[in-house]
Amino acid sequence: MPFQGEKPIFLQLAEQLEEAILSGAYPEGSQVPSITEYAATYKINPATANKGINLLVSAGLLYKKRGIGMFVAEGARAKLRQQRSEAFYQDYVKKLVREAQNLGLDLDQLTELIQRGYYDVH
Amino acid sequence: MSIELQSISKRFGSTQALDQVSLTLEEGHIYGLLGNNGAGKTTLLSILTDRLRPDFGQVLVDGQPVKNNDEALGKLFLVGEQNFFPEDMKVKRAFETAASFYPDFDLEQAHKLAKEFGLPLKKKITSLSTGYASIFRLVLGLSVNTPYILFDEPVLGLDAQHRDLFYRLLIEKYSQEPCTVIISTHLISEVENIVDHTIILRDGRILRDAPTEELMENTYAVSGPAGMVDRYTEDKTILSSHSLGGLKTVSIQGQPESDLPLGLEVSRMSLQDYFISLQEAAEREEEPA
Amino acid sequence: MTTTMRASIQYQLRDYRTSGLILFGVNVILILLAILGMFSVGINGEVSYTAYGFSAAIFMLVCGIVTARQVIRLCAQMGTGRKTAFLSLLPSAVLASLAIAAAGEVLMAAAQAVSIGYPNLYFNDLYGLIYAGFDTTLSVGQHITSALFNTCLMLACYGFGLFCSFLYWKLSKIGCVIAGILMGLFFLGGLPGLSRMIVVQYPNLAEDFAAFCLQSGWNLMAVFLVIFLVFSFISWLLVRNVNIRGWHK
Repeated sequence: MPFQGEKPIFLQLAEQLEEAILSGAYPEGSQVPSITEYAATYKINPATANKGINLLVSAGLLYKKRGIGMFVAEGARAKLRQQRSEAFYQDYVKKLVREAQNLGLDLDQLTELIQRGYYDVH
Repeated sequence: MSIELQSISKRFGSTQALDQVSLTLEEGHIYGLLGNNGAGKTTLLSILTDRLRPDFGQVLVDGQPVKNNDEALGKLFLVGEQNFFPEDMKVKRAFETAASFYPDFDLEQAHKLAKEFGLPLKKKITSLSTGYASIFRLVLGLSVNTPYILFDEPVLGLDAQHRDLFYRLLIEKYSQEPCTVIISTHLISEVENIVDHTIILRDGRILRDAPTEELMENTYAVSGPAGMVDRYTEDKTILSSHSLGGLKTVSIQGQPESDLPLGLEVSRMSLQDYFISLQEAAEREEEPA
Repeated sequence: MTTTMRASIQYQLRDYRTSGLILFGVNVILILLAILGMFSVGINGEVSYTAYGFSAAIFMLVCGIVTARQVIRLCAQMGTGRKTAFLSLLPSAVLASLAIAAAGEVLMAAAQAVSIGYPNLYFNDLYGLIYAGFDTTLSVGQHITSALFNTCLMLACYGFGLFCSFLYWKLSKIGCVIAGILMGLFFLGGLPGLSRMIVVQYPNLAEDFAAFCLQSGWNLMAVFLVIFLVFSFISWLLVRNVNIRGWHK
C-alpha cells in the first residue's frame, strides 16, 4: 500500500461499515441502508458506494436479498473480530516482540509489562 | 446511447473558444467538466444544445445530429448560468411550460422540490436572487427526466446547506433512474467524489478525458527535503512543485513505486490539487523558453 | 403536430390572449369615450373612431419586435430547435391576428349599431374607410372581409417586426446603430424619394399599383400577405445560424 495519505473513498466506506458491524450498530441479520442512501449521505458516486459495499459482500459480511436489500450476515461480527485479531497480531504484536527482543527483555518481563499496561488502560 | 462531439471548433472574434474538441459522453455516468474561466465549458455546452453553432464539426445525440433536430435536442436539458426565460415569466408558469415541452417532466416533483428549497412559485424568474435563480434551474433539471442533464455551474450563489441538498437530490435521482449527468463547475472539491469521469478543458482544448479513478491512480505527491525530492523526481514527469523552506512538495504524473527512499513521504492527490497542478504544468509549457 | 411545436404555439397563444385582451379593452374604452365625447360636443360637432385596425397592426408590429426573440430563446431552453421555434411563430401570429380582428369586428358592429341613432357619431375601420366610405354601416359580409383585411395588415406588420428584431439580433452593437440610422434615413428620405422616383420614372406602374390596391380589398390583402411572407423568409435567413444567448441572472 504505497499511499500513506488519504485512502480511496470506497475503502473508507468499507471500513466504516465494518466498524458499524463490529460495534453492533448494524446487528447481525439486520438490514443495512441501500447504496443510494450511502451515496447520497456521503455525496459519492453510487458506483463508488457499490464498490465499497461489494468488498463486504464478497468477504461474506453482507448478503443481498434480491429486490429487498442488503443484510448483515450471521457470524459477521465474529468473522470481523477474527480478521482484526489477525491484523492486530501482524501489525502490533510482532512489532512489539521484536522491539522487546532488541531491548533484551525476556518473555516473563514482557508479559509483566503487558499485564501492567492492561490494568493501566481502562 | 451517447453524445458525440466530433472535432468541434468555435471562434469568437480573435478568441478560439473551442479547438477541435472531440468527446464521447456515454450513458450512465456523472461527468465532471472542469476548467478555468474562459476554458470553453459554457461554449461547449451551448454547442451541444444547438444554441451556438460550431464553425466546424458536429454534435450527435444517440447518433442523430442536433442541428434543428427536436428529437435529439429533446433528450437534453441544459441548466445554465444564463436565463432563457421571458422577463415576466413566473416560476410556476415556467414549470408548466417545461411540462408542455418535455413529456416526462414531473410537475409534482418540481413543486415538491420547490417547497423543499423554499423557492417561491409566484415570483418572476428575473426577480429571484442569484441563489434562488440557481435553485429554480436546479429544480427544473431534477424534474425534467431527460436522458441527458447538463448542469453549468449549478450551485452558483447557493449556500452550503442548499448545495448539500442539491448534491444529495442529484445522487438520489441518478441512482433511481438511469441518466447521464454532466456537471461543469469551478467547485471541484465538492464534486470530486461524485463525478466518475473527468474532462478537463483549457483554452478550448481537452487536457484530460478519463475516468476519475484512473486519473487519481496515476498521480501522486512526494514531499521531503528538497535535495532528496529532486533526486527522486529526476526521471519522472513533474506537474508542479512547491517549496516551503527546505521542504519540497512535487506532484508527479504516474504511479509511485512500493519501495520509496526513506525520508520521502508519498500522498494521494485530490482532484482539485491535480487540476491545479495540471494548470500549472500547462502554464509552464506555454511560457516562452 | 409535434409536441414541441404544439407547446410553443400554446405558450404564445396564452401570451397573446393576455396582451390581446388589454388591446381590446383599450379600444372599448376609446369607443366609450367617443360616445361620451359625442354628448359633450353636442349637435354641432362630429366624433369618430376609426383606429381599431391600426392599433391592432401596431400591436402585432411590437409583438414581432419583442416577443419573437423571447420565443426562440425559450424554445432553446426547452429542447426545441430553432427551425421549429421559428415556424411556430407564424401560425401563432395568424391565429392571434384572426382572433383580434374578429373580436374587433364584433366591437365595430356594436359601435356602428349605437351610432345609427346619432348623425354626428361615426365608427368605422380601415377597410370600411378605404372601400366602403367613412359613414357606411357595414353589412355582415363586409365585416367579415374587414376582419380578414385587418388580419392581413397585422401579419404584414408582424413580419416587419420579426425582420427588425432578428436583424438587430444578428448584428453587432455597431451594426445595430448603423442599421438603425440607415432604416431611419430610408423611411425619412429613401422611401418617399423612391416612391417619387417610381412615380416620375414609371408613372404607369405606380398608378397601376395604386389602382390595383384600391380596386378591391382582396388585392391589398394579397399585397399584405406577400409582405408578411417575404419578411418572414428574410427573418428565417437571419435567425437560421444566429447565436442564441440568454442573459446573466
